[in-house]
Amino acid sequence: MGRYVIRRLIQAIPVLLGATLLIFLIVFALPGDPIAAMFGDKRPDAAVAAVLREQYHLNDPLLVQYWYYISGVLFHGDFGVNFSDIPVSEIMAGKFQVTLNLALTALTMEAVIGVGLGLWAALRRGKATDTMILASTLLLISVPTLVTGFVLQLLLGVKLKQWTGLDIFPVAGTFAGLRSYLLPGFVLAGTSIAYLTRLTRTSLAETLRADYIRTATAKGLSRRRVIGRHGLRNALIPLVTFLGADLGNLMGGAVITERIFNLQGIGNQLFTSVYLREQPVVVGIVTALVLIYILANLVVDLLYAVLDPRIRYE
Amino acid sequence: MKSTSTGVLPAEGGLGDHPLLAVEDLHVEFRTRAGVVRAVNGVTYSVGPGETLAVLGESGSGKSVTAQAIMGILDMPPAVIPKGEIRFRGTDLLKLSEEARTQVRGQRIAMIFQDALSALNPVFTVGWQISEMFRVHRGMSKGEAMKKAVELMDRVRIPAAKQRVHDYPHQFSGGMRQRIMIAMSIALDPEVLIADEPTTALDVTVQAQIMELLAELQRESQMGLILITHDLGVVADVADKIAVMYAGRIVEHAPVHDIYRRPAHPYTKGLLESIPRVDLKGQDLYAISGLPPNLLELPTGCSFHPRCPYRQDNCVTDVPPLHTISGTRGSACHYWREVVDGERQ
Amino acid sequence: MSNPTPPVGPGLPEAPALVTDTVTAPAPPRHGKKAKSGKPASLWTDAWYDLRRRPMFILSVIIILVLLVMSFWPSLFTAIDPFNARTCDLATARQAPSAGHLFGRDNLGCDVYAKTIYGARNSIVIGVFTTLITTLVGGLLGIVAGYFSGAVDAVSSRLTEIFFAIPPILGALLIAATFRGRANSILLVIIALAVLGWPMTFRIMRAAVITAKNQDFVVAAKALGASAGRIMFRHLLPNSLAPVIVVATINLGVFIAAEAALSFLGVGVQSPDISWGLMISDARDRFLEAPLPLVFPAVFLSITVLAFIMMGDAVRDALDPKLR
Repeated sequence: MGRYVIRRLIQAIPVLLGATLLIFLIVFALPGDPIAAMFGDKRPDAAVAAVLREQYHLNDPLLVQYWYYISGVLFHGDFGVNFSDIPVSEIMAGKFQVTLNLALTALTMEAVIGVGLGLWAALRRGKATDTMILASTLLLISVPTLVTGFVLQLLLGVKLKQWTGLDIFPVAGTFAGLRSYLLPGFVLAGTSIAYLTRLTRTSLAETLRADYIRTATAKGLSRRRVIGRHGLRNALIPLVTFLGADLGNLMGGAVITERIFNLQGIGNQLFTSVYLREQPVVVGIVTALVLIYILANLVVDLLYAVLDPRIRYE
Repeated sequence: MKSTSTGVLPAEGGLGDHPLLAVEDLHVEFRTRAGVVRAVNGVTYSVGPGETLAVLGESGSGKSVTAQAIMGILDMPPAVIPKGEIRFRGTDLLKLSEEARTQVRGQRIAMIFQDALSALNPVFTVGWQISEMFRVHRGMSKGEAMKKAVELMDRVRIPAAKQRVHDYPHQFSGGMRQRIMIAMSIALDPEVLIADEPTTALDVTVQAQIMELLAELQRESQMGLILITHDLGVVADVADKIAVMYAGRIVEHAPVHDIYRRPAHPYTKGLLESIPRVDLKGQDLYAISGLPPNLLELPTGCSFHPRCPYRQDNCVTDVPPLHTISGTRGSACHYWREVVDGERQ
Repeated sequence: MSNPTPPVGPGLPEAPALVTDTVTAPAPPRHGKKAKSGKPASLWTDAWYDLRRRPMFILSVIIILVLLVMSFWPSLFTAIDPFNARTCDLATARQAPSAGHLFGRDNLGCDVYAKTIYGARNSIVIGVFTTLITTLVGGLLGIVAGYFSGAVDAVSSRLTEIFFAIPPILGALLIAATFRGRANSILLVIIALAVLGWPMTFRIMRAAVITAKNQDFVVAAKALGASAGRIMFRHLLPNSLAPVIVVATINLGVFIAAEAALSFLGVGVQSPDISWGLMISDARDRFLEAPLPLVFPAVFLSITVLAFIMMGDAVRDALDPKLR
């Protein structure tokens, strides 16, 4: 176990550096003067520009600039400042809570609905229920978030209230506590729910064909115990890893959902900064999200070792 | 499951007139998209307390399917049992309700599988898996059940059982894993133990140890043992009687020594002649010609006729009944007399 | 096509589908008669036979054909040219559907139907070209990495790990945002999506090649002294193509959805070019009062994505019945 953990940690380091470098390069390798960009249409004073140049290490090679940046991020939580000298970490703070709430709501829905539907389908394999569930996963995968977002907002957010007077799902812009995350959470989780349903179905169906399931039956255990204890415990392994890895994915995907539902999270901030061409904020947010993504994957790898003894003792 | 299911469990104690376990005219077929696979076509055999029945046959002969039918672990569908009885102490298991069958499974009739690595659950410790029998069926506490598991592991002679009870299946060698499988199956002192090719996946030296262990456990507990194998060599020392299966039928059954001395079916004879023997070194090894039958389209008449050196015209058209040779022997061959006399036509 | 036998034997009552995979008895051959004639159907012939009788496949083919015609000759479907500003009339903004304007008018008083029809082209162009690039780059690198294990494989595998650490929509957003205005917006979307998309194809191709590499016929070809290039493209490629084609088909749909997302976020296709994502973005502000200008492009977008994913699903099921 110890060796496995250490190996995974070491493997994560080049990935982390590589991914953040890639982001850095994409944004800052562009020809053009970032200082000029800072001042927009005005021409900066030469002396001021020189000071700024020094302050932001702009005279150094790009790789050195990257190193200043990433060591600041990793060791001091310093994501740099925007053009108005406001720390990017300050801009992000508070916004992250909203996105995390959204992603966790989505993850919960994913786990409950996805695993539930998948198990149901697996136990009714080849029957009408199974076919129905499979068809709906196809639909859920195919209809883009963009579309489900607006359509559900119209149907459940607006029309439901108009028709029945029930105000279950608050509309964009109005905030009503955790309840306002329900609809966006479902929209964000949509595709993942479908994938998890399919994964659960194949995983359990495959597990139930295993020899040790036959053994469990031969031990005289009830069908409930055979499936619930011997089958599920094994089928769960790929599902947990999928769910863990998806947390990072959901936070990345939140940008569209937050736009649709006007949630003031990190995704919406990213959109605004892209619109305003605030490169430092854009890089900061994307870097932070990628770090979360890598971290989530690392946790999953470790979780995997906990769940599967064959990995633990390799 | 048949519709006329009852919840009456087979009695314990004295057997009366009933054999311990008797399979009677059992048929099993698999209804697949490619057609009906007739895996078992009228098998009859029985085993008594302390008795060892070896069921011999190549893969696809229906020997494992019969065993799975006895255990009630066939996937139904696609498997269907259109005909036959499996009587345990006089009660037809096929007529029992699913709950009643679950009471028999594992507690009174247990089974060992061929590949212990895949037959044991990879994510639970072996101790957990053995003690589960006591926790579920005997309502024991975790600690008590675990103590029992250690005792059982000692009994099947796993060294350092007390420590190894917390290990996972993949941490054991093949032979040790099979011992764990055996420990789990005898946990609740079953009356019948079915061993489905228990040694096929193991080294030759380990094979002998496992067979010895099974024989010893059987002597101690007087359980009936059904030993399924494709290897004639394995059964010679331990079996009391042998049933040879071909294409889902018993083609010959006899006490073990009679079979080795004078086989009464051409297929058995072919099997015996294809065993390498030291005293016949240098001679060509005999091989049964042709291929095992396609279970989707069984040959007409005697299923063995396309491969049979004794074949006559009526073999192609008439299914041979199981001729009684003596009180304890039978052969499903029209020309069993010629086979016993050794005259090849 | 040699005439194949229906998989259900004569005289058999309708056997439930999907039963074969749980059989514990010797598995019967999938097509009884074909195996006997000694001419086993190839993977592709078998799959094609299977596909032709799948309603989902046929439906997706029809939808895709219609979309192709729509993107090559949009004028076949509508007489209105949405690029002509004179067809728009602010006074009629958000007008409900009528005989002349089937889908009504949008916020600028332009015909929604004509725009939706013309929007198909960019979706298809972006989907097809992104798929082509990712499949070529990822596939080629995948073959090479899979065939030459060692340094080549190690380097390219680490490289894909780095790309995999960036959520695709974020990475594409970053690229598209950075280069916005510096290149043709459609080209930019294709590049942004391709940069993030190729590692997936790489991984699948590499895994398939590694499996194929150890098969006897490849080992034999190697032993006979066939060149690396010959082994890769004559032996490994045809035997590893199936999963790549499945993923390419599905990805085509995914890329189309991603284009819409980027355009919705303002970094994709730019006006005056037409894109469903852009239409959704434009209609969003007045969506709750006038949903139709948003709903129509959304429906077209969904059906298009659905068609490709459905086709990919069908092809996968046909190629590998075990996955069903």
